[in-house]
Amino acid sequence: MIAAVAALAGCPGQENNSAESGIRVHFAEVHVNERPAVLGKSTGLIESPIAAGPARAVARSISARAVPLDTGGYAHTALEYHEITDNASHGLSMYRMYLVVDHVELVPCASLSQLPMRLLNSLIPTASAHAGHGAEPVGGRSLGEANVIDVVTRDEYYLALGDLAVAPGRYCSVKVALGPAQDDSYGKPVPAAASADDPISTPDVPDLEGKIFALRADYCTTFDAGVCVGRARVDIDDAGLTLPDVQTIDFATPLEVSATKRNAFVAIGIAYGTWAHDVNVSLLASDMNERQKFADNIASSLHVFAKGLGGLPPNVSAE
Amino acid sequence: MRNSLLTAVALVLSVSSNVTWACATCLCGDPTITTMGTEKPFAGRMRAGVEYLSRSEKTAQPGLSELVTEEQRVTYSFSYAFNSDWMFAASLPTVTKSFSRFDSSTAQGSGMGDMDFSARWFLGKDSRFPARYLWGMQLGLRAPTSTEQKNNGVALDIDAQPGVGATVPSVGIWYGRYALPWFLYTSASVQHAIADGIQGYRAGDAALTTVMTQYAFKNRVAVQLSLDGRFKRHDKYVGIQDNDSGGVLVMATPGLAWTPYEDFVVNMSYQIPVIENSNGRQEEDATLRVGVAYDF
Repeated sequence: MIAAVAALAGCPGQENNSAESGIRVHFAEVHVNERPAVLGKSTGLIESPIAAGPARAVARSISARAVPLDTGGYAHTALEYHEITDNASHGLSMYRMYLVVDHVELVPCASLSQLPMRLLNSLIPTASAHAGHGAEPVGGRSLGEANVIDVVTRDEYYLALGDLAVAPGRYCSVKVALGPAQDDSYGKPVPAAASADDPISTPDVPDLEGKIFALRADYCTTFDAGVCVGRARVDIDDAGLTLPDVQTIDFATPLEVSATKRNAFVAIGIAYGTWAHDVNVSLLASDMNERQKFADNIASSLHVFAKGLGGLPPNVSAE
Repeated sequence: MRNSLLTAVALVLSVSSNVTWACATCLCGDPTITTMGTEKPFAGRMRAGVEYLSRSEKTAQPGLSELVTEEQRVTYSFSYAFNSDWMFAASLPTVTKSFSRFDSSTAQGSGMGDMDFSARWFLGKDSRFPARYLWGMQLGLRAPTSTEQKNNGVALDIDAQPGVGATVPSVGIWYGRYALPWFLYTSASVQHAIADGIQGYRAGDAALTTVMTQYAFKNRVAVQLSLDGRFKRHDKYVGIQDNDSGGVLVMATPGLAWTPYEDFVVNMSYQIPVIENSNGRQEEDATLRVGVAYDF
C-alpha cells in the first residue's frame, strides 16, 4: 500500500493542462483603383500605408432623367462596376471580375546563419500555407485553399483570407501566387447565366473551375452628343494565357514577430486601376497578346497594402 | 516522478524478509527472470507491474512546421492466468504529454491514457518440465478509455492528448525459449484502428516485432538486448494523411533485469533508434523505461 501511494504521488497524468497560442500573421486582401502614394524610396514594389478616409462606394445611382439605352454591352447605368482606363482612353467598366489567390508565404529576411536552410529550401519546396500545416480559417476562408477575390466589391475593404502560423523571426517579403480555382476554393461563386436582354442587365457569373481570372466588362464604342449609345462587351479569362507563378513583394521595413509579438497582419493589395495602362481594351477580346499583357498587369498590380503588428485594422463603414 | 518510482522500489526492498512471498519460480518450475508479458503461466498466477517511460521526438520541418513532443508515462499492469493455457492482462497508462511548435505555441495535457487488454494463448510447448519452448498467439485490444483533455474549456491539440480515444485491436504470435541462463523471446503483431479517435485522429496500421535475448547471472541479474521494430502506415487526421507519420523504426534496446527478492523483478531499458526510415521528417529520441513487477 505504501509503495503504491509512493508510486502514484507526483506521477504523470496528474499535472495541470496548459496551452499557449502561437505566433499568427493575419492575411487580408484589399483592392483599390490605384496604389496609395508613399513617401520615401520607391522600389517599384511599394508597401502602402493604410488609406485614410471612408471607402468609395461602387454603385452608381440611377438618374431620374431618361437616358438612351447603350446597347451591345451591359446595362451600364444600372449595374455596379469598377472603371479603369486603357492606353487609348477607353473606359473599361468591369461588372464581374474574379481573381484567384492560390497561396501566400512570408519570406524570412536573409542572414548568414539562415543560408544553409535557404539553400535547402530552394531545393525542397517550402511549406507555405497549405492544408494541414499552419493555415487557420477566418471568416469562412482559409489560406489552406485558393481564395476567389471578387474585385467588383467595395474598395479598401479588408477581406480576411485566413491566419498563418509562423516561426519567430524577421520577415522581409511576402510571396503571393495566383492559381486556378478548384471545387473547394473559398469564395467561388455559383455559375449563373446572363439575362437575355440587351443591354444585359444581369451579367453571367462565370464558372471559375480551372480559371485564374474571369472578367465581364464593356467599354463605350459610340457616343451621341457626349452620351454613350453603344457599348462592346469584353468577356475574357486566362484561357491560353500564362500568368506568373509567384509574385515576391518586398516589405519597406521587416516584419518582426516573436514570443512577445505574437500577432501581426499583412494586407495584400490589388491595384486594379493599373491593369489596362498599356493595353487597348478594344483588342482584348480578339488579341491574345493584349490579353497576355492584361494578365501580366494583374500579377504586377499585387502589392503590400498595409502591414503591422496586431490584428487586421477594422473596416471603415461605407458612406 | 522518477523519484516516486524509485521511492516505491526502495520501500519494497526495505520490507522485512519475514514476509511470505508467492513463489512463481516454484510453481512454474523455471527461475528465468521474466518481465511483464513474457512470463510462463500456471493456474492462478497473478502479476502486477508499474513501468515508467520517458520519450521525445521531433517531426516536420524546422522553422516551417516543426513539432517537438515530450511524453512521460506510468503504466500500471496486472495479469492473471486462469490455467496453463491462457493469461490475461490489463494495463492503464497515466500520461503527461507536452509539445512546442515552430510558431512558439505550446501545450501540455495530463490524464489517463487508453487502456490495453490482452490475452495470451499458450498454444504449444515442448514436453520437458520445465518447458524449454513455448509459443502461442496474443490477442489485444486498446480501448478508448481516455478523456479528451481541455484547457479553459478548449480541447488541447491532439499532440498533447494523453490518449487518442480510438479502438485498436491487435493480433500476434510469440515464441519463447527458456534455457537458463539464456532466454530468447520474439513476437510479432499487427494493429488496426477500427474508427477515428479524438479530433478525427486515426493511427495508421502497424506491425510490431520484438526479438529479445537475455543472459542471467546466478538467477539474480540478467542483461538483455532486444531489437524492437515498428512498421507503420501514415496516420490520418479527419481523413487527411499526415505526411510526417509512419514508416519504419527499429530500436536497439539494451536492458537490465534484477530480482532482489523472489517474485520481484526490477527492469530498466534504454531504447535507441538504429534504423529510421520514417515518412517525412521524424526524429525519435532514445526512450528510457524503468519498471517493477511482482508475483502475488
